[in-house]
Amino acid sequence: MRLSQFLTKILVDPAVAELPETAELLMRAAGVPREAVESPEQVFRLAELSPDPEGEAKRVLYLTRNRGAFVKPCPGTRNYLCCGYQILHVGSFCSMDCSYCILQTYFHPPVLSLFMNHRDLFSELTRVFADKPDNVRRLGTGEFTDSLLFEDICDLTPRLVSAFGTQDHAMLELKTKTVNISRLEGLPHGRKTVVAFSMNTERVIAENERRTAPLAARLAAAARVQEWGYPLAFHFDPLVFYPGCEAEYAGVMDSIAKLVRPGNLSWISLGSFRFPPQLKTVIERRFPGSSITCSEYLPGVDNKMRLFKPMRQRLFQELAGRLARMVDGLVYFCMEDEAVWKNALGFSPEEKGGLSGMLDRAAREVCGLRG
Amino acid sequence: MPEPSLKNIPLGRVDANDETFRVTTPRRVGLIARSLAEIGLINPPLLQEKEEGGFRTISGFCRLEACRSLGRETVPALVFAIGEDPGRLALIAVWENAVLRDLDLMEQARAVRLLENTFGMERAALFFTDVEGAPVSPRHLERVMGLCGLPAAVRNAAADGAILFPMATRLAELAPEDAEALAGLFSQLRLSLGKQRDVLTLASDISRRDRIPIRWLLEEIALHVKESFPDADRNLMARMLREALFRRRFPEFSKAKALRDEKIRALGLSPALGWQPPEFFEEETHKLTLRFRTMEELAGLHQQLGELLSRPGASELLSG
Repeated sequence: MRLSQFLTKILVDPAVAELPETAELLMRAAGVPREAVESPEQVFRLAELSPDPEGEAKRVLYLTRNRGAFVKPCPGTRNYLCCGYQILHVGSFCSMDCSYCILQTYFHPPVLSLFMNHRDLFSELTRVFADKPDNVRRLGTGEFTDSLLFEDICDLTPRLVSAFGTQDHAMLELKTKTVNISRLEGLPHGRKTVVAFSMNTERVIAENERRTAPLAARLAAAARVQEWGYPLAFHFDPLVFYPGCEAEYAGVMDSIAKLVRPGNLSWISLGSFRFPPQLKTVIERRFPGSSITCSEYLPGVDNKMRLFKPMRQRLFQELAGRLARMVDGLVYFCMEDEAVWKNALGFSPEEKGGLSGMLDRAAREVCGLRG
Repeated sequence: MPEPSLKNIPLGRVDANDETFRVTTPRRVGLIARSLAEIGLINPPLLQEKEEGGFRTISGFCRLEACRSLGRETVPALVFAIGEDPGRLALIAVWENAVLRDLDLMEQARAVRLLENTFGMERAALFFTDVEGAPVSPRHLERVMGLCGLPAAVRNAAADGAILFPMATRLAELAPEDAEALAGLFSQLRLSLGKQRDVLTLASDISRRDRIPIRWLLEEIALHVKESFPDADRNLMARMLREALFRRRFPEFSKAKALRDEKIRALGLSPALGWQPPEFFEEETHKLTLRFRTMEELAGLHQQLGELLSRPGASELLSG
């Protein structure tokens, strides 16, 4: 989707109004009405007054300044193994509309925002690149928004890809459900950028992922960026359980296995659908036909609702086992405990240097990182 | 301001279907009829002449109903003229009821809707604030007025207190037949709001997942419970129904839990020694609780613990 054709308004924080990046963005989104706002509260109120605050917030882009750190650790939850990914926080929320999206309840209220103080961002990145601890760094822009959402109005991604291409200690993961890849062509990425696609079955995409690219288009985009030399990654997160889902997921995995070249897959993650209890209410209100929360979800140790563990283990056993046999690359679980790992893959990450270490190794091998 | 005049009106000329000014919930008509028979009509109903002929009721719906049930042909009534200000009539209809007793949920909804239709939201909000003793948001008022559009069974359940406002608004989101089925069940079993919420959540989830209307699901489960427990009282029925819904909603978990509970029972532990497995199978950690008052009791438990270590059932429980 082209964001500039979807937005109904752009709100501009005076703190970024004079920045060249803002002027450039406003020029690219020439047809979208814009307005200066004095405080974030004005933006929040605009969304809150709507009968569908989350839906409204997806159509109004707030250009503002990141007043905190751009690089921060992923907010993994206790008792489950986290991959040690670091978030490069360039913006928040998304204009695509996935029923299961945790961002609907993560931000209060959710606001589609993009940080425009890119000079601060690149200063921070320069420090990150200069600081070389023993392990490598894996950063990504796809945690709080979609990594390729703003491509038609903002130059940030090409600049990031080029910046990461200049060093060999950190890699950038772009995680997306779009096929907005055209601006990645010809960039000096030096294989330090992994392009990752969120994958799901056609049924889940059709029922729960509004305004995202179809499955076939995502696969075609993956093949294309591979042609341009980018390493690939895939994320099956959330895996949604429904009768017959195993065969459908297996079909998607087969397609991936066919397109990935040996040595070019960084990783594939599997994460079963999990959600804070309050998200169920939002899903029921915003997606009345969706039955995504109606499988056997029970409270997990982190207070999120999770698929009943034995069912989850069976699903993982089948799918992770299949992937491990089919693809040359790391298969890992997002936010699962040791028992699930052992049950599905026969080992615990601890035995292989920890999950974070396993991903660091994969990043070294596929992206040529040092450290 | 012209005052109403007292007239003797033929009951047949009062339009029983005109509910323009109805606030009151039809109730206790039999009791009113008995009082009319014994002491007569002390407080005449308020009517208004209609342009097309006949009369509409402003206040006194139940009294008129009682007169009809007694076979009376005429009734003394205070009658307003055709051109009377509808705003004044609406206020009379609302206050006549509101000052005499606490309005039930449906009466509040009708009163608010009447005032909103006549004067707008602000006046309706003012009235509701007077009745409730606290200010309310327009959104809340919209929801209150929305109750007027609920199916009859739900309105009746709301009026007699079997369902409270939060539940009534949730039922308003369902298909009318499903809302009626749930309201009927809640009226019959007199469930607390918390239990009603449980039932609604379980039933809605199953309905969406299995693509079965809630009313069919409830019929099916209620029938099964009645067949299994023909003599069950209301409390037992309510418990069995909720358990049956839970088992249907979480079949694998329910089976696994039943199997695990059976394994724990098979260990034959004394009541002083409690084995607590992780509630939802998510964690690996089990807990043991020991209850004792004396060292001798503790020693007894110590011995039981020793025996427990050698039982295959115990290690089976730990391995899931």
